[in-house]
Amino acid sequence: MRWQRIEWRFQYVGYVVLFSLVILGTCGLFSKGFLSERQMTSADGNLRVEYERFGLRDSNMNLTLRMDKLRGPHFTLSISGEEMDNFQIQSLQPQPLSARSENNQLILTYAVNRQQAAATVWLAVQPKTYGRYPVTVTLNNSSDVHFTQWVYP
Amino acid sequence: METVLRAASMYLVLMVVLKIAGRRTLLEMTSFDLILLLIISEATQQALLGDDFSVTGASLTIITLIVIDILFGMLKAHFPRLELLIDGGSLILVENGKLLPMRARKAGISEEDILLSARSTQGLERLDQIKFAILEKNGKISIVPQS
Repeated sequence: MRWQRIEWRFQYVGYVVLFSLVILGTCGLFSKGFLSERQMTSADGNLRVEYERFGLRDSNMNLTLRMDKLRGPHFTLSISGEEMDNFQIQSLQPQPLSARSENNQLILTYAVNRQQAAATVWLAVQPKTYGRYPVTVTLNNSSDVHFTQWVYP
Repeated sequence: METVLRAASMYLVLMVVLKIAGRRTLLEMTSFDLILLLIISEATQQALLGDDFSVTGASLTIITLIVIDILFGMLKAHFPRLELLIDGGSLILVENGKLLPMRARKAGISEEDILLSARSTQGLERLDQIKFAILEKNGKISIVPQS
């Protein structure tokens, strides 16, 4: 009977753990959900990044970059190296005028209309390995946003 | 969130569809039924996991399915009516050697099916040797012989 009691107790604890895992999963602890969806704005307010804090290996994560107070005929976005080493870009909309790399950074250049002040770039990236990844997105070498993404195996 | 919702919706869809299909499908498992079950699981897999290949995603799907199962089990224990609705009750098909034709027809069970069960489980030959034949929740027919 002692072992049976231990088993029942184990089962009860297991129920609680499983229920809370499902509730946390619904809230987004394991990708997509309100716990996971975050946004960050650069200090000068020109760049806002909407990202997912938690992601799953081999499945898509969305990244939305919103730019404001754009001036001049072009703007450049650079995405830091650690992100690019571990993430494959599945889609990038709109396509940039030019894409190149510089010191392990991805640099995207877009054209801007004269009257246009704001623009948005949508990315879908797929992580290839699990772990914690710090990411830096920089607009025109002046406004930058740092954030961290967790990828589950 | 997406993973949990996918698992929950597939669970509910399968539960409703199999409820509509009736208990008879379980009673007579032909080789075609077996293949049908395999195809159903193949089709479900796509909807459950989508383009997610991660271990965490699969674990969360499994945990969600189990939790829904536990939850329904608890609800059934609390509300007997819900159990009747989901699992159905047992149904008497033969009473004192007489087939109840309306019930048998609605349950999709013929006299031959009852006799088959009577022969294989009790070694009875005729309907009048049966006191009760009951269609159980699990889709099997239990036979109580006349004493």
